[in-house]
Amino acid sequence: MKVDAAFPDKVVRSLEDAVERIGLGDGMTVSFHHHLREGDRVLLAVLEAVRKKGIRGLTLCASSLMRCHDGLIDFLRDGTVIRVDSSGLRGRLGQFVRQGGMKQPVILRSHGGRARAVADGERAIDIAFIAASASDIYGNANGVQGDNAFGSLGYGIWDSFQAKKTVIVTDHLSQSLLPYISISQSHTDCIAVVDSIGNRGLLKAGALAEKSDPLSTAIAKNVATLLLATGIARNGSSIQMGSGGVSLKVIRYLKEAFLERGWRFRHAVGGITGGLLNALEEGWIEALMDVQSFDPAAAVSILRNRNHHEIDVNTYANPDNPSNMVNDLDIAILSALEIDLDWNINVLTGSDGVLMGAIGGHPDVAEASKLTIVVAPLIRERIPIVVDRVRTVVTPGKDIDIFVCDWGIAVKEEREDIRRSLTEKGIRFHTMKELFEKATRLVGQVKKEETGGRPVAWVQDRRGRVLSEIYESETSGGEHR
Amino acid sequence: MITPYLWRSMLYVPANRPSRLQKCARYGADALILDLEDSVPDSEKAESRLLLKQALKEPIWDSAELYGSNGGSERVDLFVRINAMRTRYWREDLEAVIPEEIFGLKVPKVEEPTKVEELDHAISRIEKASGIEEGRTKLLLSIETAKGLLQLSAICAASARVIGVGFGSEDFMTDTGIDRDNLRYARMQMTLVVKAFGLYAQDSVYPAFSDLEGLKQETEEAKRMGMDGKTAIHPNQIETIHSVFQPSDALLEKAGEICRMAEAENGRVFNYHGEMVDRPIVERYRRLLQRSREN
Amino acid sequence: MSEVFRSGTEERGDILIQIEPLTNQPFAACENQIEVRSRYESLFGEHLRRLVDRLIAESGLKGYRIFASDSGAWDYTIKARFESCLRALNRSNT
Repeated sequence: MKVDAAFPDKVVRSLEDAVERIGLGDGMTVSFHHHLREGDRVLLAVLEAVRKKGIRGLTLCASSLMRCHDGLIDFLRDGTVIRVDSSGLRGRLGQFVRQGGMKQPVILRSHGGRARAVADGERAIDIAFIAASASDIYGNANGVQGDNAFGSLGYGIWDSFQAKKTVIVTDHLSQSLLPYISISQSHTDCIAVVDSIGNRGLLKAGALAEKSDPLSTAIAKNVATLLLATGIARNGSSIQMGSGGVSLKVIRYLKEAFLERGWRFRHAVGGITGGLLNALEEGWIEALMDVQSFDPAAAVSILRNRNHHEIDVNTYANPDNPSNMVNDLDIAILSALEIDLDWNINVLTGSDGVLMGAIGGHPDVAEASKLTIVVAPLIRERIPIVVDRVRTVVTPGKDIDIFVCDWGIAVKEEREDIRRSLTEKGIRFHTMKELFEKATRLVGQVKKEETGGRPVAWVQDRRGRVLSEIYESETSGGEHR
Repeated sequence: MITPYLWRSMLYVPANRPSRLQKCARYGADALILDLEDSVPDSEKAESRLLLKQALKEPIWDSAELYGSNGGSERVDLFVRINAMRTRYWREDLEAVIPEEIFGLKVPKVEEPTKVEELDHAISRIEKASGIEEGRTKLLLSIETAKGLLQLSAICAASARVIGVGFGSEDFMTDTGIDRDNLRYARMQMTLVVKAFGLYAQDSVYPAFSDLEGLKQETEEAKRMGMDGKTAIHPNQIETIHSVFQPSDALLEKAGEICRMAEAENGRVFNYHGEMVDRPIVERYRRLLQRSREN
Repeated sequence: MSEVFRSGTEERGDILIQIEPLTNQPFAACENQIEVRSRYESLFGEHLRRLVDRLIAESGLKGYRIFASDSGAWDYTIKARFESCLRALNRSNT
């Protein structure tokens, strides 16, 4: 009988105890995931516990920040947190940052870029706080069981590998071993049991809400025609769809064609929506590689369907990992807030400079996929989406091949193969300049204020170089949102 | 007889809503009916007419159609539904929209051939005054009363502008007391007369726009009756209507012949079994063929 | 009682325009009082004001209060709504 190597008791009953137990100190880097999206309650609760302990000067490395994290402003004001890394900024927090609320510029990275940065030392994580909808007393955790099951733990898994210490935060503690394990007990140092990690009902809120806008139907139809008539989408292709209203409708059109022809996608990658879950069940997509679930129903699917794979973000899109899934993509459909004459994409700031979006996997997918299609209306209300120069470059134009809007299709000059194929099929297409001129003729171009001055955020490319800067501005803007 | 008009769907769009006017061409309907009548309250008739006139001058009418030749932008076929000729609005409606070179007018509650003649003259006067080709503005007449249905032959013959007739169920039911389940006879009678004149026969809207199954059934019925297309009250209805009105084999054959002849004629206007075929018409048939090949 | 001439709405994509005579102003006969608001102030505010000024100048209006509340209207809508107001006003003046 061994007595000196007993299994450690990792369970604590409050976040303050967890902060104490794990040895969190001033100036450390803490990480969080955003799998619960607008329903997350863990990030702010942990910071509250940190503040109570009198700890200051933290670097917050979040996989993304949503509107539900507006409360972070308090912790920035009082110095609990002094540096922020994220994929996106929006709401009041975005405004706070833009108006110069932080001394240190926020670093904005793609999901793949963050996977790289936490691994190569650029942003080493001291303590990862990982919300899990279920954990056993050994520290095995998942996101697919419990009342707040949210699906894939793709960002959390990679953090548990990279962080010096890992705290699982859960509202569902099991005395027996979990049947499905996403994060291993070997990586878990502490398990904090809380009343609630959040509200998974809000997972689909915000950007993911399905719109019944007839224009997005028109765009989706154009995408489907393009993919099918030119033979870009074929039996055995791999695809990433995105989560916007257009993508959801594209799935509907592709389904008809694929079922009719007996075709199947070999897999779909990335954010997994309800539409893709259905496609898996219907059999016209063979497998899902799920780094983030956009529908809580994914939780059940991961548990039951052996072809629904939970993948960590390193496997999804880390540019330093050659066998990541985006490198195997044939087709990607992505969205945009702005696209310019050089095909650069902005998914982060509105035309008025207001921080209102997130980089997500956009640059990762666009760079790696064999074909990248960007979808957006030509004009939103009165705001032209095709502009001479995007406000914030998030994805360089070299990585985009096709733009599809409600007025038609633009194909990059270099993609002669696609242009030829469209011409053969009698499908019209435009140059980006033609679409730009169209938008300008209809609504003019918006007034852009002078940029320059102190940067409040840096947008990094996948490999850590600064791609663009967001500057301090007094104007709050965004009165229309 | 097969009509040369290939509109499977026409979407009603209220003329008093700018956000709809500037988007509706790309909703995918084969044609639009910009409505100054039922969807515009009396208090807004004047401002809606002005709004529509300005909107018609804007380059917002390119269709969502992907099939076609590069460079050219294609304007979707535009109809304006004017107010009924028994109201005090219709003349002003004409003055506002005829000079903007629309495809045609949708005329509600047509009952008498003499009224169609009167309308024809009024249009001609405006066409002349504004220097556009006389006769270019076509008429799509709406039969919404028993009296109109009885006089339909004379109505169809009253003007060379008449290219089709639509059925208006709601008003027809009010006028006659016939319920929805018993409209079949009237719709068939209308279609028969319209076909005798070689014109386009259009079915009424299906008002319950979220009931796509009911829409499909009614559209299939219309197709079996020989109608050529159906109006839509909501963009969601367009796809269902299109899925039913797939072109017939006879129509596709005709399209093939016309495209072959057009190639031989090299851009000249030609005669196809008594039908004058010009470039825009050839373009319609070419698109029809391309679309059917892809689907 | 002076009449208010109104056109348009505050729905998205539209603009509400109101014109009314200034009666109790000392310089009523020669000055206009103009108020323009926009949901898209930072993007189109300047453009909108220029357009409204131009429309007023072309109309020859003098001695009126002109109020515009924009919810993202395109120029054709702004022109149409302005003209509607103007016509209603001219009708009532004759």
